[in-house]
Amino acid sequence: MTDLLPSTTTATDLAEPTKGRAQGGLAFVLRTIGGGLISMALIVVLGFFMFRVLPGDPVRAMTRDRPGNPEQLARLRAEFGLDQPLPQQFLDYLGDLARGDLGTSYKYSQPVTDLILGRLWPTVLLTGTALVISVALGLWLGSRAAWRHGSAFDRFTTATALVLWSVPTFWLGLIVLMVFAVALDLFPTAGMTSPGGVDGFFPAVLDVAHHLVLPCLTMVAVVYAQYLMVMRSSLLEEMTADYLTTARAKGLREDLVRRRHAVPNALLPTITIIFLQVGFVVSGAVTVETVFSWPGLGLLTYQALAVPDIPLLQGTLIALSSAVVIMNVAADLVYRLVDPRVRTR
Amino acid sequence: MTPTSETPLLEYRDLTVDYRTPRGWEPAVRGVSLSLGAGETLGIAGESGCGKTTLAMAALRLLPRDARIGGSVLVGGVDVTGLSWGKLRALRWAQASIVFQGAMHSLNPVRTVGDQIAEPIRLHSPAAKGVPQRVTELLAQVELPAARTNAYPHELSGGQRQRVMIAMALACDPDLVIADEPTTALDVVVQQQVLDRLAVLVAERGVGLMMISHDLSVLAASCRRVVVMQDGLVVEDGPSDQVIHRPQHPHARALAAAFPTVGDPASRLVEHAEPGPGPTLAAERLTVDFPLRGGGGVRAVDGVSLQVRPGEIVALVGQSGSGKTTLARCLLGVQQPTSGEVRYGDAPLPRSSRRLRGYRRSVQLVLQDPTGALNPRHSVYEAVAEGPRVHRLPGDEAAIVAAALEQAELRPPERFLPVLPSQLSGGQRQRVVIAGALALAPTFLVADEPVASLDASVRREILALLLRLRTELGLGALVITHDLGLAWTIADRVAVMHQGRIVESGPAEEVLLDPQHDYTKLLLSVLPTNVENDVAADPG
Repeated sequence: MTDLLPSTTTATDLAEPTKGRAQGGLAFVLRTIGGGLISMALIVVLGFFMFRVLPGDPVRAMTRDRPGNPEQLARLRAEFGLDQPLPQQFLDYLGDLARGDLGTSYKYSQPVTDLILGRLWPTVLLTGTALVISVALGLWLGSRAAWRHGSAFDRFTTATALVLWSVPTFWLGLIVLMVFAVALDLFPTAGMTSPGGVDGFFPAVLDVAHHLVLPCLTMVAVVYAQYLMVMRSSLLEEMTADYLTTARAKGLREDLVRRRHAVPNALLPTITIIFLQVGFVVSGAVTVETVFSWPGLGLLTYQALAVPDIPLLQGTLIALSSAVVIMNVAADLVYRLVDPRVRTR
Repeated sequence: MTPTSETPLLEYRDLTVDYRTPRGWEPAVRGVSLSLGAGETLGIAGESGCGKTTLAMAALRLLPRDARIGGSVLVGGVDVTGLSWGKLRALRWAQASIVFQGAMHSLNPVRTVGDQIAEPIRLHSPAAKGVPQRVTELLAQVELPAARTNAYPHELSGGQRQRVMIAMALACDPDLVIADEPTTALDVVVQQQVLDRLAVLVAERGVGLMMISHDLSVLAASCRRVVVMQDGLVVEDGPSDQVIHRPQHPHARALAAAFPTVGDPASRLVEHAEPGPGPTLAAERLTVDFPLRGGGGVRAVDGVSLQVRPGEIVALVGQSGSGKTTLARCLLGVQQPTSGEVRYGDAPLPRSSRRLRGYRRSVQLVLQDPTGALNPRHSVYEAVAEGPRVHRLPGDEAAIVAAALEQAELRPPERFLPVLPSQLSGGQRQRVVIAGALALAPTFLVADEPVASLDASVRREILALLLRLRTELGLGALVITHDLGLAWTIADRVAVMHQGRIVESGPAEEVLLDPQHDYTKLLLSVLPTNVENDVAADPG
């Protein structure tokens, strides 16, 4: 339709309302959340069927070390509901899910919900810290690099970021581990707390922070490049904007021109990317957590994969995918909040 | 720092500005000496690339880093070319401010207008009290309600945004205001309001005004003295009346002639022609409603009937928001009318997009801004060949493209084929757009402000091209414009659109020389120079 009238037609002429424009604020929020819920429902369905088509008999895998007789196997099957026809299993799965019951782990023989909740906060701590640092670092370096486009600073930061980004996470993790934990012995090699525990609140916090440094560093190194690149290119596009000339003519310092006028505009496209990536970073934690034995959701997923522990995998899939969906919804809502043009359209 | 009555507010002394390019230093301003005193008004006219905007930017040393400045620029007796950055920043906006062109882009889209007006006040007098009241006052001076303080730029119309720019320019009570194409994107009625506002403020506050425009008639209406620039030099300098009516330099004469005076037979290019054979493009009782947020609707087009006969040029004239673009979208088949129909020949417009394709081949669109309409990464060949490819025209593609370029007078075609739009001038770009339309051998063009973004001297060439295409190819056209002078130059018939209705239509001479409807009369009365004034001022 619009190929004949590209958006570059004069603003005044195309400012005339067109059909199908966005509704009011509340309707927008409901629609966005509704879209998120539909995605969640699809994940739930996918989570069930994806693991049923996996090869391998989970009961056999469970009893690999101590081969049991056929009766024992049949009893185990009945216990996990695996003897039911597939549609019945699906209905049970939905019913349980509605009650917040994700089934029982084959490996740990514990409710999956409890396992996930227990591992949730280490992951949130690790990814949250890594994200805040990499977003701040990426946006700051990106805006500096764009402002001094073509300078040595720009070339150096961009090149470094791209090199780090292209490095495989597990490899970087292992190098970091070998250098800082093994060779220099500055940081612990694994886990979140020292074995045996530490007395007192503040020593305990320091202990966790000490363990956090290396996994967090690895994650930041791999992730910050995309924020840097997005911020840099977004700001480069704003660099020639007329309103920056206006700001300079008003007598603002270059620094203020950048902070007050250029960056707020350049941030807009960046926000969507940041939130989109947050979800992926959470799932990307699998590698880092495995390398550093960080007791989070990622490590749990890795261990469940080896069995394969179907209820647990289903649970972690739902948890990690939900993170992506929730962040997407949040991005839409936040974008509307910060860009006045979207808000009133 | 305070200028005495003898010190000019702004003085250029043999100013030269060169820009560094890959080909070496390109001169933009080549030795300009001008001065402007308190309460004076100076207009600077010229085409794009003549150095007039560079002149404005040089006043506050806003030129890009790759510019080399020679000579001196004195603001209030102080040479800004040698000033330290700190002193320069203190001088900017406090002593001289600029009303930039295209206020849509010159205002920060994510900050409220009140915030942006207040910013220089807070910056230059950090101890200032009552800033919100001051902002309200400033808005009142440009006749905007106080409630607009919290509006974002996109919520305002083009005229309102330009008035915000003026309010912003006055925020720190400067002695000098530089207005760079302040009304270029506005239609005539709004342009008149903005110019009036500027004139009143200049008179009331005794500030000096330097106004830059490509449109001599705008300068004549608001400045006492006008200079004409060409290639970085001042070629004509004198009282505005003299520059407009008795220009000496050939370039000044060309500029003066490029803005046609409605009623002047010399500026009417179109010759009377009988409609040729072929189908007629017609709208019949066309109505378009747009639903509004929260119920209700807006009637953009209200029962409009309009005919374009084969080989006929019809000008659809109206202000922005009058519904003329919506009407054009219906005629192109990109907007479904709420009721009524578009007829091409004997048949109503097909609704399915497959059958619309054939129709779209016959009715082609030419947009206002060729820079935006062309993909910057596509060569001229790609741009022109795209249409024939989409419509799978039979025959040799290269031959079709060459023929279309030939028709659009881009000669020889081989020279233009591999060229990118950025290497062409504005007029050449618009010819490429027209060639892209011609490649499909249409019977009608719908041209939305086809020359509004072009330089004065190029306008006439493009219009002459449209007329020649009509004679040679029997091409009819619907030209959408807010410019009555354009309608006078080129149209056989004129239809005036106001609030979704066609209030008056008929042969161009009748409508423009003997308007019946009040709205047509209003449009004619706000033209910066109309024929009565000319006759009164210059009986010869």
